[in-house]
Amino acid sequence: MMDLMLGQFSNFGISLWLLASDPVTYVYLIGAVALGILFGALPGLTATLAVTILTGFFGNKFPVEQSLIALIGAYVGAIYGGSYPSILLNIPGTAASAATAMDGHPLTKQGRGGEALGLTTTASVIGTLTGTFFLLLLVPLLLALARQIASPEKALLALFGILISGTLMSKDLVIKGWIAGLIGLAMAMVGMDPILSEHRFTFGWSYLLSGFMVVPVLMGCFAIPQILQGMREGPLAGAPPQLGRIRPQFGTIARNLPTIARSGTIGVGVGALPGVGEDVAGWVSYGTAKSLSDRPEEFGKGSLRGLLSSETANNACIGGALIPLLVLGIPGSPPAAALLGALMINNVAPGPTIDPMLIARIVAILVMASLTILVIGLFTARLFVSVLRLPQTIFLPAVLVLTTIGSYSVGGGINDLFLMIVVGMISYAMIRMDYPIAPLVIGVILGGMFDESLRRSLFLADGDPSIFVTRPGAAILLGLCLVLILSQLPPVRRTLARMTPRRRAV
Amino acid sequence: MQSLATRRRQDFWTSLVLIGVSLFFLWRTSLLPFAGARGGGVGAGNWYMSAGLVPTFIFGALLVLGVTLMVIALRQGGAPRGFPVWSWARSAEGGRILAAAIILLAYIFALVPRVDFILASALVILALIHGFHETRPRATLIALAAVMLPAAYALVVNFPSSRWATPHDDDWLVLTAFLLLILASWMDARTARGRIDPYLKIAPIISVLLPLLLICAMAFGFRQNVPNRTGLIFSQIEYHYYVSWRPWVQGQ
Repeated sequence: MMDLMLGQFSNFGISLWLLASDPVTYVYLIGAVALGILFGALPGLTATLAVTILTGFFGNKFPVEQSLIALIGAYVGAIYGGSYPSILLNIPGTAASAATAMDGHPLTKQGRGGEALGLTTTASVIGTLTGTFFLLLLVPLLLALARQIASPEKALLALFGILISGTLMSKDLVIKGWIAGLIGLAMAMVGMDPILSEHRFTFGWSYLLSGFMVVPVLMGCFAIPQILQGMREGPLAGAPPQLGRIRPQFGTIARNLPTIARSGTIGVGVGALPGVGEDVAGWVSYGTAKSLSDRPEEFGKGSLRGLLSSETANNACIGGALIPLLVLGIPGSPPAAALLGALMINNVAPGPTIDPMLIARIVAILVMASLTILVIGLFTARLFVSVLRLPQTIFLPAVLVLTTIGSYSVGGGINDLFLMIVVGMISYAMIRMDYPIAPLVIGVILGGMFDESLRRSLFLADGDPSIFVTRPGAAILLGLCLVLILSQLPPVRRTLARMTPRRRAV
Repeated sequence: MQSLATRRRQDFWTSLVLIGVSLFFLWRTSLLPFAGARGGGVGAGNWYMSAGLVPTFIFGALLVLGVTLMVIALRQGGAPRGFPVWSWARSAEGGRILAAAIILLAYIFALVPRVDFILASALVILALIHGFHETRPRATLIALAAVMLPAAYALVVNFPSSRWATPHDDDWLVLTAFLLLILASWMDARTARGRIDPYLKIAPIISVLLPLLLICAMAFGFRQNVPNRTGLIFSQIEYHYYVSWRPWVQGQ
């Protein structure tokens, strides 16, 4: 095990040196991080959209090593960039930075907007580096464990991923998240079945034989609803206030290091849950910081701890979200799902057989991207702040053209555009009715794995379903799936509700 | 988030759709061989190898959840009182979303396959900026008409895919619609507010430059596929790129 870790650290060192010594890296990285910050800063554009659009541009025509610099750079930049409008305008640029607005905007009202931005930048960098550290540390260990995972565990992991994503991402009824996940799974069933090559739900249309392409589905799910939402709302922009000093006082950072460390760990943990994104990480960390604080009344009124907790966690979530992605091929967040789409079209299969050098390179890119946001965030923040004046009705039509050409280019067919727009319209209707979209995307991505692994497991056991309980790993996962389902049944919920006040009383 | 009653009314109708879709796909799944499945000419007649196994589970679960959703909706006051879509579509918000959705559908289904990408995108970008940056219903209507008329023409006259690349009549029509929309949007804005918003002034330039730069970057920089290479403008760009520009750059 020690050799494995040392080998991984050595690979990381080599990758970092190769990246840092190649001038092309900086061209991709600075451009991608700046684009990411722009996407994060403009309300209506998201991190997932940034990664998806860049996937369309880079497609499979560029070496995956180079594409990854752009995609990860944009991912890190966008999660950080969302804090700009949250702090300055009280409009979260991305869902990930919604918790940041709670204390960021009150600080702006107190004339400390620049200070808040500086602290956010530092917290984001520390958060990303925390996530990166855990990624470097855990992935080799988990990959060694993942080699023990067979078809029954894979099938149940896919099911668990969809269930947990549906459970945690639902704002209204939990079953809406599960319905979204099942719709995603159903979409993944279209095409030739992976074992017997049986045509399923193709209705005689040859385009559907290869199933739904991931990139048009991602663009449909994330870009089209955003455009329609923006057109509904009309021009949405604000006049950012005067910033003042941006560079943070390092004493403030040092005093809040325990909060930062705890938030980073929470971010990694939430990120590692399949399909649960940076927004949940931000809120969980914010809530934890408030409940553990000796001055909880300051939260929501410009507390620096509140600001640092959410912003560290949402960036640490990036590293966490990449852990299940690289180990099992299960994306930990919606932008990670888009990243998986990029890996898939480049024929890179995450999982136990993934090239260790690729993991080391991803970690090295994350480190360089976080250093890039530190430089850009502290020295060019005013430039990005001026972008906040741009109304969404001006840039969202441009996003439509970007997604159209990106979606067309990856698949090379007009049918991909038809798929994108149909999926987009359905996704918008679902979002309007409070169905989360992340479980749908996770379902589309994991559907093939679920189908193949489930049938392969039953084949190995001659049709005996007890294979899902006799293997310890499978039994644990099945138990978790059952707990998730049973916990939503009305009698169980009533019992849990009755128990909660009693516990408080005790 | 909308009110609980509104959400539950929506949930009632959604549950009906879910139940209908689940039943339809369960029927389609039943057409897949279960016991007599064959793979590569070899009999694989076990139920657990059937291609219909997982879809049956998925659509069965969707059916159960659809029924559950209906029960929850009815219990929480979502009993049907008219079809909510009609009243929503008549509202200002519904009208804007419908108009935006129609423009997007016209762009993808009618314009992109048949019309030069630069022209189609320029028209749609300008229409969306004018129709939705200006929040007045008249601006939205003008935008909708400017896209729908050439889109309907392209769809009706050049419907089959064999005609997508050849004639340029729809390209010229879109170009005309684009120029007319510039005039109409400025006149409309001046009539309504006495001045033209600065964003509307630069919108025609953004509308043309953005798709022009994008398609050139994709086709010649990123070497990716681009839609409608035989379009009125892009065919000329591509011809001169390979026949005039590249030989000149290479010193031939």
